[in-house]
Amino acid sequence: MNILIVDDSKAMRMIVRRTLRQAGYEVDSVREACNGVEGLSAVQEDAPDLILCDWNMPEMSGIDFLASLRNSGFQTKFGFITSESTTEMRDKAIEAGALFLISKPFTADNFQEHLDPILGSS
Amino acid sequence: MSVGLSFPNVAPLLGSVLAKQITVKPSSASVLPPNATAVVALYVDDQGSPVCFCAADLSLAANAGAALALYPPQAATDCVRTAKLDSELLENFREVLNICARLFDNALGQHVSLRSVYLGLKQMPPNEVALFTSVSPNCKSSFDVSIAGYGGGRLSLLVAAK
Repeated sequence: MNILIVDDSKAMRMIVRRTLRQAGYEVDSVREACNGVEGLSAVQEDAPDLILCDWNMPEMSGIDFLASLRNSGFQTKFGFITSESTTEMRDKAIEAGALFLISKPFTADNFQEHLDPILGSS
Repeated sequence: MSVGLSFPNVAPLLGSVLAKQITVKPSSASVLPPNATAVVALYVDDQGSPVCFCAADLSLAANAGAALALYPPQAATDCVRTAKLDSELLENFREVLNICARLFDNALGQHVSLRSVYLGLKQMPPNEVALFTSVSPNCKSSFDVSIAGYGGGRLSLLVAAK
């Protein structure tokens, strides 16, 4: 399994990596990008199996990144990990093609709840 | 401690973010002003209007920034000793402040998001400083925060428009 983590916070990217491990997922490759522009470039270079993406980022937000992906024909599995937690944001995320939205702060249990149905039990 | 606002989730939220045991005690003292080494975050509503602030003293910013990324506690201690916040710890603490928007969401019943983080009031635009300093006492809540395995410091939550 190859995962792309897109977040402008280096610390948060590290925490997402750590939480994936804590949740028990065996990941072959984890790449990182710090905004949607870098994320798009990373996907075009080598499409991952799953993208875990922040919402608010400079250069290109997560929702714009998702829209660009879909417009470019990429159907990569996509989930948001963000401090945004309103119903409106969740609806907007799902409508744009995201499979889930995990609110920060999160736990390994939160990851399993949302990732197990997609990746299989950890 | 504010009489008009309630922030019961400070300890649980920080505990979840930092994955550490957090102890929070209400404090009658606020972080600013004047404290040039404090970190101040501005939050805005969905229309982009300033709504509230979160201010943390250098010690809390350094320790929370270190704890978030599992840096050794000494990294925070060094910052406090030199009264200078390391840029990586500040970046880490910005993420903590980003997630702290949830505290205001819950207390105000409206969605806010982090707009800016300043290292002291000197970095803030004058209109935001004016807003920050005009917050009435009953719209401020301050807490002494301790992070297990690290140090702690003071956190103030201020609501400018309600």
